[in-house]
Amino acid sequence: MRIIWVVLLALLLSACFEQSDCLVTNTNILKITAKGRTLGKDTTVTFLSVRLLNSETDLYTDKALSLLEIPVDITDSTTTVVFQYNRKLKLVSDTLRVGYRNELRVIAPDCGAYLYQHDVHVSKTNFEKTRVTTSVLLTTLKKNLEIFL
Amino acid sequence: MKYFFSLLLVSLGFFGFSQQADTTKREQPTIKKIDTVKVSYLPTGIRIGTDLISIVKTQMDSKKFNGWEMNADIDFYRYYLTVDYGYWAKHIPFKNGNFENSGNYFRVGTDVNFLLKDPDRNMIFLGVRYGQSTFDHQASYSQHLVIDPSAASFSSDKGVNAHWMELTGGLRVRIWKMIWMGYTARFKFAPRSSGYRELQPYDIPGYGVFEKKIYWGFNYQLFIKLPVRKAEKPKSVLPK
Repeated sequence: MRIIWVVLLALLLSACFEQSDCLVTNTNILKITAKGRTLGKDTTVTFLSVRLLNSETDLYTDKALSLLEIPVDITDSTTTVVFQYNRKLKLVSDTLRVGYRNELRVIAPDCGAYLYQHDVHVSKTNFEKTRVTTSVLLTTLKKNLEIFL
Repeated sequence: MKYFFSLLLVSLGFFGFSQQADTTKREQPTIKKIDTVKVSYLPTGIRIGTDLISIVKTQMDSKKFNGWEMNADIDFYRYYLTVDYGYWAKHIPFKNGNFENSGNYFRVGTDVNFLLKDPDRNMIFLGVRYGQSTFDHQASYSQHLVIDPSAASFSSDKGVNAHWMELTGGLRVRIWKMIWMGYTARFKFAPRSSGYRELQPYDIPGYGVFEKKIYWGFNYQLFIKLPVRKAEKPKSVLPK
């Protein structure tokens, strides 16, 4: 009988530490790492242009990168990115369409509500190989997607 | 309780030991049957009630909270089968928008009465419940933490499901004839939700804040007990 009371008291106290905090980790930045096609290791590629489809400005121009940060469109459920780079002295243009589900999460009345992107997946691409490593966009994550060049 | 078990253990040990020692020497004595109280599992009545806190909260500010809850239980000796059914709708303003939900819920479970010798069958109980809720919810919000109606976005889901478990404890006291009052404290835990796409549940009807994996609830209830049969007065176990 005494054990039951101890357990109940422990559960009661545990509820006191259930205070919510304003830990906001949402982001609309998709983190893509470049991988070597043969060895599968992280690689640095000089991208001549990285641009969102139907956008007039580049996200990156003539830049050597191993990690690309792509802002996804939170008003839509897909974002398409066009990558231009040289492969064996030949200009290559690859497209990547990423799909996701926008989900609103109310953290707490004092913290507010934030939009999170879940179920990130590659819906269309002409890269030979891609791999989703984490299907949710969070500030705490280092990468979401790998592209093999 | 501790002494009861200790005494039981000591007496059982002693009884067993004495039996073993006696078997070779003399015949086993005839064991007299101990007088015990016959327990009836037939229900004495169905108690139907409502939660007064939900009614008061609705009267105070029906825009913030609008709800009701019906409770019923039926006794099987010291065990009570309980069913709750309710509705709640909430409006919760937050920093960059507003959240609203509405839906029905039910709980089903058992209570165990620890007050067996009370002539009125008043009870102090502990119990468990399984709760389930189906609800709609929506939120209007601004991404920039400034509430501008023209820039507000909107997320909603219909037919979202949730379920959880509860440990309960409380009292039931007979006030007058068929009228009973009581309270139930609820320790809610293990909430799960499914069927949403745009908005993660913030508040679940019947449970509370989904983010909190442990949540407390409290009901202050008024009941009417509809008798099924006349309750037997509990007898003393000890002989006079």
